[in-house]
Amino acid sequence: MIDPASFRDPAGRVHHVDGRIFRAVHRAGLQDWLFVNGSEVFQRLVQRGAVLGADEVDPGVLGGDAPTGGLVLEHPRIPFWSYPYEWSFGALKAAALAHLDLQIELLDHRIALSDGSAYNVQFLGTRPVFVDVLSLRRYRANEHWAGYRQFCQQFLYPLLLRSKFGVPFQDWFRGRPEGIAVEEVAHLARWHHLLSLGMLLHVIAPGRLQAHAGGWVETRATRAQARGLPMSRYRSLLLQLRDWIAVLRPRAQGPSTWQDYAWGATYDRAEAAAKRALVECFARSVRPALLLDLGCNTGEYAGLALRAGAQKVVGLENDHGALERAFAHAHRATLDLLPLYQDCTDPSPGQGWNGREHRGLVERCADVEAVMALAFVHHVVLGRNIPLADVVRWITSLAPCGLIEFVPKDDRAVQRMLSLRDDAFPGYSFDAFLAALHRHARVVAQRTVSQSGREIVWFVRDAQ
Amino acid sequence: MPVHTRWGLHRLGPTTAPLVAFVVVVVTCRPAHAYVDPGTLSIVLQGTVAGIAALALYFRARVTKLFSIFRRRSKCEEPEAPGANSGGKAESDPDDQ
Repeated sequence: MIDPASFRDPAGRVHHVDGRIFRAVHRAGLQDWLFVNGSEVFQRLVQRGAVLGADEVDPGVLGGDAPTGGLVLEHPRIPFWSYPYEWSFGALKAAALAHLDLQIELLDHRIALSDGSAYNVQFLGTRPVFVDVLSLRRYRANEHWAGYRQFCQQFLYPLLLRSKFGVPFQDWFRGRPEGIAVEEVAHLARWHHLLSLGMLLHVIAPGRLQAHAGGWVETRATRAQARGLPMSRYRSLLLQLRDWIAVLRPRAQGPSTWQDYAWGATYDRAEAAAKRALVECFARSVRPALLLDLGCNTGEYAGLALRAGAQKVVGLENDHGALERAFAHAHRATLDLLPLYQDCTDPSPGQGWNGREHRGLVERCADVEAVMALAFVHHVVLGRNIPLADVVRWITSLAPCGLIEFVPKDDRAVQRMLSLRDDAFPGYSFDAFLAALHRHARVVAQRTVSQSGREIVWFVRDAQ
Repeated sequence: MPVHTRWGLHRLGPTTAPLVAFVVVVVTCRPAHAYVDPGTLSIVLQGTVAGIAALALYFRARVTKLFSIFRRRSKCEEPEAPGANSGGKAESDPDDQ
């Protein structure tokens, strides 16, 4: 099957065959690929893990889809595909810096990138890796940076939204998968931003000219194209962007709801220990290759699961403060944890061309082997009015086994949630939860982990 | 003739002049009500943007070098305090937000 997102590049296509990932290199991209693959710098980048490896295989694996006059490469599989509109600020910044570092190193060896797409970067844990090897091609003397505008739209402007204006970029970016337009960011700029060289060069000037320039642009563009861009200037542009992005920080928005959440907030020491023990026991027994942590917060329990036996965790969180802390914590502790921005009541849909270019979250969870939903259900049921049975069905559909924590109405956290509103949830009880769970799964273990009556249930989904 | 030369801005110096001209053009341009392809605009601007970026990097390197000379001198002049840590402060984690 041809990857639904692989249709733009005439140099090749990505194919999925029996869970393996192949890339057909067409005749149009063959010469550039041979040049890149033969270079010492490319092999070094692959060894270092900055670029995804690619081994040539027998074209017969693609059957009738084998390219005429081209060749076929096989890539290692990325355990979980994510999109830039799901990344934390820290993750997008790490990806932007990795993208620029890659370009700077390659340019020194006369290799350029044909685009500046953030979708060409994926994460292994918190480490960015460049996946589209056919974007690399031989540098043409005095060429312009073909991916400059795309880099700005998909890396720089989302980072600036958060860093300069305090606006989280994820929802905006998801609404514009092609990236944030320069006019929109320029519109937010104030006069004092003229004092920032970066803002002036990459935002205000192109933004104003985009809105105000006339037909003279076409003439100037032809002249600029003919004149070309010396390599030293090309390099300076990359370096200046790198220096600027390296010092960008997410603008503080005050403490977020969950970033300071701690065990002690809702548990005493013994209760927290019981919950930790159950998470560790679960991870040690199941040893999932991919664990999904719904409402991962700052990644405390994901870290526990990883240390106990889970091989990789993808955490979903919709609180920006907690998300940033989770990414920073995973990066510092070199945990194979990828925290993603996600509102589980509105998970990323399939979008882009034909609604299939960027796959929806649930579709990407096919390889998930276990799920954790700790203190998650009550937020969705009581906070967002999703029926309890639907929430249980959704969680059990994500993985063949998992842990779900149920927080009863007597718990302080739930009482706080209901204190300013009518209790419109008469059916919210542990019995109702268990009844809903039994429709899809059997309970392997159940433990009360707090005096208020919080229960953690270990389920195994019925065979489907 | 470049815009900054035409306007006599070249008297401001080699770095400031193109930057000032750039700001003036950007701030004073008026609506043209014409469609401009963003890719085309990117090509037009890249030369100028990259040129200014190159100058900025060059002058920053010079300033850093100048400061490092002063720092070295002041270090030579100041006797090292007993027990002072000569290793400098630890670098902060760039991803630590």
